[in-house]
Amino acid sequence: MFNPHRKQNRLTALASIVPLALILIALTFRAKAEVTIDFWNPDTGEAVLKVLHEDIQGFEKEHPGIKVNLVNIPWSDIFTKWQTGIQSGNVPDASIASAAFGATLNSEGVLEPMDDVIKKMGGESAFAPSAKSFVEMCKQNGGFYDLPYVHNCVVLWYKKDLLQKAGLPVPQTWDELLATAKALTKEGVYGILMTSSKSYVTQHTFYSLMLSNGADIVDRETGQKVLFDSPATVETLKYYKELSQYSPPGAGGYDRPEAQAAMSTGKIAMFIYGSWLGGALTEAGPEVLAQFGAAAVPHNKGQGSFMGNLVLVTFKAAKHKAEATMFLEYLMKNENYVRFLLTDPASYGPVTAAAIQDPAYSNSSQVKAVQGVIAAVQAQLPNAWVYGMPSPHAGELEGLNVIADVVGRVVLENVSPDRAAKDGAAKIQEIISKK
Amino acid sequence: MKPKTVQQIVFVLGLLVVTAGVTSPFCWLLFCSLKPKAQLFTGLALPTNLTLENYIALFAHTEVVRFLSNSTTVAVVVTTVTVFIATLGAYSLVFFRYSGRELIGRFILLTYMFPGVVIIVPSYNIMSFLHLTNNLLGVMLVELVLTIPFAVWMLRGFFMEIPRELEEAAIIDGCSKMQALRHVLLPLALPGIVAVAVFAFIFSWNEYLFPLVLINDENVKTLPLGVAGFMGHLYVEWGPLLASAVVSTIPILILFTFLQRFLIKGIMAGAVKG
Amino acid sequence: MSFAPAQNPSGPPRRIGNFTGLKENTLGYLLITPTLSVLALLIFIPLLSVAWDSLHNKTFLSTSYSFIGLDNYRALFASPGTWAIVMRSLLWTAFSVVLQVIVGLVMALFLNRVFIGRAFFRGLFLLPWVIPVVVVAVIWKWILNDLYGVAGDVLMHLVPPWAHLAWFSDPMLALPTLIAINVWRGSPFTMVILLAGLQTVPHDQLEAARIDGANNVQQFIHVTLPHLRKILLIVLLVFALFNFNNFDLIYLTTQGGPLDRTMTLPVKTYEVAFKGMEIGASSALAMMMLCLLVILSFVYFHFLRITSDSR
Repeated sequence: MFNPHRKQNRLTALASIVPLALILIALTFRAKAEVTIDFWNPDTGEAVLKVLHEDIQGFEKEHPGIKVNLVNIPWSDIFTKWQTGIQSGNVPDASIASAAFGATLNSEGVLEPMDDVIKKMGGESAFAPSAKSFVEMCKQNGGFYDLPYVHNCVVLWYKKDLLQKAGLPVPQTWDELLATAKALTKEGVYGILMTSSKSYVTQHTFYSLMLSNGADIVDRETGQKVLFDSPATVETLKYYKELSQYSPPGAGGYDRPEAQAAMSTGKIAMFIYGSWLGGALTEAGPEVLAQFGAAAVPHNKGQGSFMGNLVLVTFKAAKHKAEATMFLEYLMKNENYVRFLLTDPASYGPVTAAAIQDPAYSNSSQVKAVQGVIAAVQAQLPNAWVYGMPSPHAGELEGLNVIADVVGRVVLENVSPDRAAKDGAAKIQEIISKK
Repeated sequence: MKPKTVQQIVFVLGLLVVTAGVTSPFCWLLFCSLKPKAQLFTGLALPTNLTLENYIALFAHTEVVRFLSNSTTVAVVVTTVTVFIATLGAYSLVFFRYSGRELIGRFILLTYMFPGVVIIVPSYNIMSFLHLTNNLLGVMLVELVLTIPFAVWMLRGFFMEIPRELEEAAIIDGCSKMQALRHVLLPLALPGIVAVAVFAFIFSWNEYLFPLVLINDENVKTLPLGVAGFMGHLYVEWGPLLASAVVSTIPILILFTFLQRFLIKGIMAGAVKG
Repeated sequence: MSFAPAQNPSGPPRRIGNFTGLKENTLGYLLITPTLSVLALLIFIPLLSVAWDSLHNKTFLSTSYSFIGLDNYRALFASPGTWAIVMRSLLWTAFSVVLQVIVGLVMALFLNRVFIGRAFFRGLFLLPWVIPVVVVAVIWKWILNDLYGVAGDVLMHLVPPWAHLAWFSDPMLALPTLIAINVWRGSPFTMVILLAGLQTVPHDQLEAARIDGANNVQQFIHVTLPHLRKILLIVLLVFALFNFNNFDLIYLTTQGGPLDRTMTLPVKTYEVAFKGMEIGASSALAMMMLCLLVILSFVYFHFLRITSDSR
């Protein structure tokens, strides 16, 4: 049975698919420059994006033929994306990371050593003494696998007018902090914001309190011994729970967006959080930032706080390693580096001696505006640490929010702090003993 | 009062309650997006003025225009391809007889119930293998698997409403099956096709999980992913975030105002046919 | 079917015969092929891959892995958390579906009466369903926040003890809150389907009932509901599956928190894969979810057959 229409039908069908396919291909095909490097950035604030774009433009002008593609992936997702990228062969050429994530990536053997870049900067002596512990974290067996970029600390943020009105000084010890929080919680105002969500916010606050009580997660020499279930940690958990009652009822579930919004309402007197909150407060308006002061995290049996940090890394499997390295060197050139620092001096503390001594940095209006915050950060840097370091699995600890989970169980579920700490320690042991 | 009047009053009240329940969250969102940044968190207190500053910040400082265009591209392509493939498929299921037809039909409907979450890892791997991660084409491909089963089912319902005799008459008059489809059935099933198109568009526009898994690059993000991304920013700017939520709704609202008739008819027809 | 001989003098030779000829079948198969190939590429092959992965200890953290048989499944069944999540998924599904159907039916009953502007309201009521889930999440997170959400201010005037509740953070309140939001979002869709059903209820039967003295409620129970039975059952099944598979709403509001109190199977599957980096374990979870769905569907159809047989 001959169907004269069949061929026609098929041809028409084909004919309509072909242009469709061409359109699809054209839509998604991007014209590539000679060399395009992918640069991943998790620090997705407006100011950072602006300065990175400036850096990229400057770099592309200096190096025609190289294009930099800025890919922004938030902290909550980037660890996963690195891993899935490594598995499928789609690694970025260079990336901003943190020391903890860098340690994990390095333990997987995927990072390119940074020694050459550092040599070009003038070797290790290019780094300031204040950055010593940070620099040590970025090394393994004497060689650098991370390039230290900027660092900061968790501090105690406080609303100046609320403390003044109550006639209270800035608390310096745990007892003072508890008393101040209690005194300020009244009439719709809360003394202190303590989150118990499974998020970085909880981890940063809790770890800082741990350090200020002389506790830690693993030992600092080898990173192999789990110290999490020490009496000092249990004490910190109890203290955290006590402080939480002076927090808004929903704080148990707050993540970063909610925490920042909460601080902007002006109804919360204190918050133990990174100095980078300064950037968020500035976003709400410089008058908002002016209402707050920053001080060292109140201490108990120890001293310390969490060191926030950014490092730069390149991947062994990157398609354009040489060009990526050139971009990183460009970022570290003093005038570019200082420009980056000045976008948010409360968050971006310098690591190079050159920048610290550079009057363009120290005499700038941006630095002067947050002098108090920077002072609080610098006071704590000698005692600041990153959780899980130097274990090569520190990144997983960070990514899995193990510590936040422990806090949540104690505060929200009323699990006994001993029990929670023990369970947490078991989980941490499991993670760091892997492979 | 007469019982009928009471009834009417209850009816109107009930209608108002439902309307309020449905629309007040949006109205509040819209209202808050027009508040000045510094007065966002003042609760019920009225702001000193209404302003577009959040929208200006949104459009000037974020990639929201790119998100809009990406979402539009993906939705248009997915809709077109879905309608094309689903029309052929529904035609096959209704106007042909071949062994396994019933089974295939039921099977296609079942795949509609398939949880997308189950295949997130393999679809990432497949797209990765095809070098289509971080690429709108990969997203389009995956979304097809989510729109086509329902589209086939819906169009099948519409096709089943069309009397067989019309198609048979056309064939007797010299049309091939494909010509019968084009000249006789499509015009009659046009409402159904529009319904399927609207459904596919809405579906694709709102899709979040697969773009989340497949896309990293800000330049390639679709709108829901972009808006969710604003919540993950280091400093969350709530003003522009609220504005972006409003902006995400507008294209759908516009599409919907004109075409809701078709969508509703489509769902209703598909439902009754079962 | 007409067997009349061809009357067309011009043109190519005509086809004679019935429609079930071989060539027709081929075209039929051909036309369904694009649908089937999309499904094959993106459902079957991935499904096989998931089944395969569930028998290995693959992770995103390394490229080497080995066959471990049913170990992933054993770990899954042994963990008490798994059963909690399954129960929660079922609770989430059951409450969401039932409430969505009830609210949808109420909304449909309103729209079933003829009044001016009915079409406008019909479209308006569909609003919560047509917007992206991320917008739903942003709106409700904004409204229900205990510190700066307007719900607190409104409740302060209406029900003061509720004004400071932590809707999303309280382990007891989080799931009900999400279910309520889910009902707000999904009812419009059930409404449309049930409206279709309502409009097929024969008017003469309603008239007859009214003449017999039945009031509105009695009319509803004795005439309307029986007619809606078939559609109600379909809606229950379809929406049970939709809600069971729901990922977006929960992930975008609470990510399964606080303390996994809103964790359902889909969200957990994603979390284990992309936060826990465990491909093997996540695949086992996914397969388990699928099996549950199949079992639920079978139970449902069996129940359907029993009740329809008993009529």
